[in-house]
Amino acid sequence: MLEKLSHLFSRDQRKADVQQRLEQLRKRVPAPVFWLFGKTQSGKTSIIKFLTGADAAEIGQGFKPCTRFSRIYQFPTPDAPLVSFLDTRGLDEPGYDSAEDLARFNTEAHAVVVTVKALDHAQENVRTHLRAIRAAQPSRPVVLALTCLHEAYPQQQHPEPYPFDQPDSADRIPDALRRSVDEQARQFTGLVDAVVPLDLTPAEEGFHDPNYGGPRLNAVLLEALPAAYRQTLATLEEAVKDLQDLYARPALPHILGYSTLAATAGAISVPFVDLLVLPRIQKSMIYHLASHFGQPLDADRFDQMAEAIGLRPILRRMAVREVAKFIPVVGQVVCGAWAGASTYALGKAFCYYFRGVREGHIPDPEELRGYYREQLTKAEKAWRAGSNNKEMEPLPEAGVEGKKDHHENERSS
Amino acid sequence: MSRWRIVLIVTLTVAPILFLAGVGSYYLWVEGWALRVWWPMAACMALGYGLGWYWQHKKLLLRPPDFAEPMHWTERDQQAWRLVEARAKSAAEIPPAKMAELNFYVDVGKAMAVELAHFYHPKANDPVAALTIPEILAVVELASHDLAEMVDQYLPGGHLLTIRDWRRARQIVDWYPTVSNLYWIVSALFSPFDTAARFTASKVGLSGPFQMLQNNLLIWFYTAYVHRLGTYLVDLNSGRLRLGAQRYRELMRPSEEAAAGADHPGPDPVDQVRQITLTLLGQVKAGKSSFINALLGEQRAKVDVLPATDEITKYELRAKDIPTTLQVLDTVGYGRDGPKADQLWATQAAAKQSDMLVLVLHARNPAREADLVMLKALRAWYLSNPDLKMPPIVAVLTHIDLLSPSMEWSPPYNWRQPQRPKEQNIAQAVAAVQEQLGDFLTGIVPVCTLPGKILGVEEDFLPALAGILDEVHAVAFLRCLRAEINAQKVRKVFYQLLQAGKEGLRLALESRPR
Repeated sequence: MLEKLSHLFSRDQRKADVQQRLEQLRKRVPAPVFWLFGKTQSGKTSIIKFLTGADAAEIGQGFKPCTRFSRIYQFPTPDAPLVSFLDTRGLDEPGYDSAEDLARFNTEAHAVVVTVKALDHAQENVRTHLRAIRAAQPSRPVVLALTCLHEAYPQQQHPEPYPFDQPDSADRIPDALRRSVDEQARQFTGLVDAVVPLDLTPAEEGFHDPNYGGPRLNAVLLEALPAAYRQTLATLEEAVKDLQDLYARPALPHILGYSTLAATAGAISVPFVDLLVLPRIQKSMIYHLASHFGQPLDADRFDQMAEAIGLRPILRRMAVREVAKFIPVVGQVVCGAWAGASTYALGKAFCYYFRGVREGHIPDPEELRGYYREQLTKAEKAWRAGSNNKEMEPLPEAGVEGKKDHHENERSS
Repeated sequence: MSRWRIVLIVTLTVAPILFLAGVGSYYLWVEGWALRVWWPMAACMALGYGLGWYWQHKKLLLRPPDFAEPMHWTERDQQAWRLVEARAKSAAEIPPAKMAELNFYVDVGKAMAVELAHFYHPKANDPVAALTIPEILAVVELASHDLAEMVDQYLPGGHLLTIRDWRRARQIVDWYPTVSNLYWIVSALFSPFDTAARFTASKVGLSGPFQMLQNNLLIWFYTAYVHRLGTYLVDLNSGRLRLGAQRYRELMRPSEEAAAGADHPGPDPVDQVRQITLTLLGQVKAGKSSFINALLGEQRAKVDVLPATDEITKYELRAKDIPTTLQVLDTVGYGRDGPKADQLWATQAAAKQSDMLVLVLHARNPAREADLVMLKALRAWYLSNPDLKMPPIVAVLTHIDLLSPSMEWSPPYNWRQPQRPKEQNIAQAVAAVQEQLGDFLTGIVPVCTLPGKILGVEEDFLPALAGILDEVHAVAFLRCLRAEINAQKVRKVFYQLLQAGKEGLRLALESRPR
């Protein structure tokens, strides 16, 4: 017991435990993982762009190689991801073997999105590997996205409104496209659960609707995901579309990512170490936001700033709230929702502050606290509604393995 | 003509000149002009020496025989040619005396024959033994014919050159010093000091260029000999002379000559060489049939949004800038269903029968692994058939109208110096193909084949085709030669048997006791 206590008070060990705890939490965050599968330039990046609102350069930089043939993009950051995309870019390379990717992603990927250009019928390779992926987990939803529809009617606008989700409007679809789409659907019969024809084009291409078929893809994906993950995606979608606060909008996914992580942490019954996890998450978020807004912080400045803008009491109060988690079940949900919502509100408050700094009128602490409370109330309501259908199992006690190692190290030294 | 007669004639001819030279020198000396006249003369000599040395050195007086490898040579032939080239290069190390001997050329010829035969049949013990007598005679005939033409063309007075002249090439050089020494002795009598100076200068000056000229002549002939003989030995070992020298020359006839006759294509293989077969390859829906329609200028090949071509189809095309008839083969696209071995095989077979390949690529579908696999398979096949040459492959990048910005279509697009966004995207697409498949391609042509929006076919594709026509003809030549050799071998043997039979019959009839 004494050992355990001294252990808790050793700063380095505490840090390591928190780190480990965060690792475990990240794995349990209900962030959907999409496996994008298709030939190069079949529209994978456009789909990521559409779903996340990130721009092409951001996506390009965000991709990290993870197996020999594929890479992963965790949005908005790998630190607190909301949604992840696996890109099997090696599909076109000689000697591609889906087994390697399957071994790595089979348990992680919640849905497979196959991207195929509507008019490109050379899909032998794609189907061959898709069969293997389908066989590995037949219950996992597979969505076939038929892209680049406009290739069937060059230099013309899309038929509007979008006709593919209305059964009686088949005659509005250009004949060539309709036959090609039907043929693709026929070729992929049994391999996919849904077919979504769409055309996501950059604005400079000059189409009236740059996200043609996008809403349909969103609807199909939401339906395909497990309930818990559905919520994250829906929240993200809402945040991305928020037109109220254009300045904060690019930062919103980051805030959402950290609050979701915080909510996950809050929803799990806790050993002592979790008291430290939540502040850690919030601190990370604020560092991240600061650098996002071009005002990177160091530890001292962070404390100073928290004090100056009056968020210090809020941060302190959170530690007290953590105690509520010891009340079983009710406490979990309350805490989960509260941890998420408070992190969210905190993030928003910082955005508010940074915007003020930018516009030349630094908000006074009272104003900022008011804004925080307002956001907190809103967010808590939303979160509680969302977390009703979440089911969380308690994590194994954090740091168990770490401790063991620690002891062994002590013995051996 | 005996020697004393020559000496007499030369003496009689030279005597007046020598007399004049002597008297002139004496006069100049008496008048005291000797010194003033000497310097311009020395300057002339120095200039002559300088130019002589320079031109000899640069090989401008007698140009080295230029040689371009025949277009139809395959990779293996080019390697064999390097052996020939090495031998020709070593000419400078051979003593000139040796090069004046006829037997030396016979020996070199034999050595080359053995060397090249060994190169082509590295495993055979006696590779020369397999060659037929008509083939060897054809080499001799063709090489001799070429040499005669070259001597005629490049050597001044070459048609008067006799063997004796050749042998005496060395002796003439020996004579020159004798005569000139005589001159110097006479001169010395009149002006001992001046003469000594001039003698030294001219010894250095004149004999040098003359010697060089003579050596160069020998080296020139030797190089020409080795080149010509090498050329035909390469063709011999590749089996291209089995038809005899006559037929070989007919098939090799430059394409311009035959262009006039292209209007009456007959069954004769000579005409078949003139007719080019062009095969279109590409993934399914890349736009092969649309490209054919654009090429023909009418909607003849069936096109559809779904794969429409399910068997190899043949079209004939006469383009106004191309002096030949084009046979165009449209093949079945690959990459759609599982590998259908027979269809792929048929496409590859068509490719092997063609003189030129057109790889049709979709500008907006950059996944080209299937094309790479196809090209690699073809290259492997040609490597295992070294007597054939891989046809040149031109890539056609279709659907450039779909490149971004996709709403825009206002040709012409100058993608070679891209300015507008669409031009830049076309240039990028071309660069991508170059990176992916550039090793295999002779050219990349971006086109649009949409009826009413046709672009790049007449402007870029046909000129590109015209540019490689010689290479295409070379491929056609090898392919037809092979086909003809296979057919003729049998016929020839029958004919010879028949002749031998007739002769036997005649002998038998004649010897029959009456």
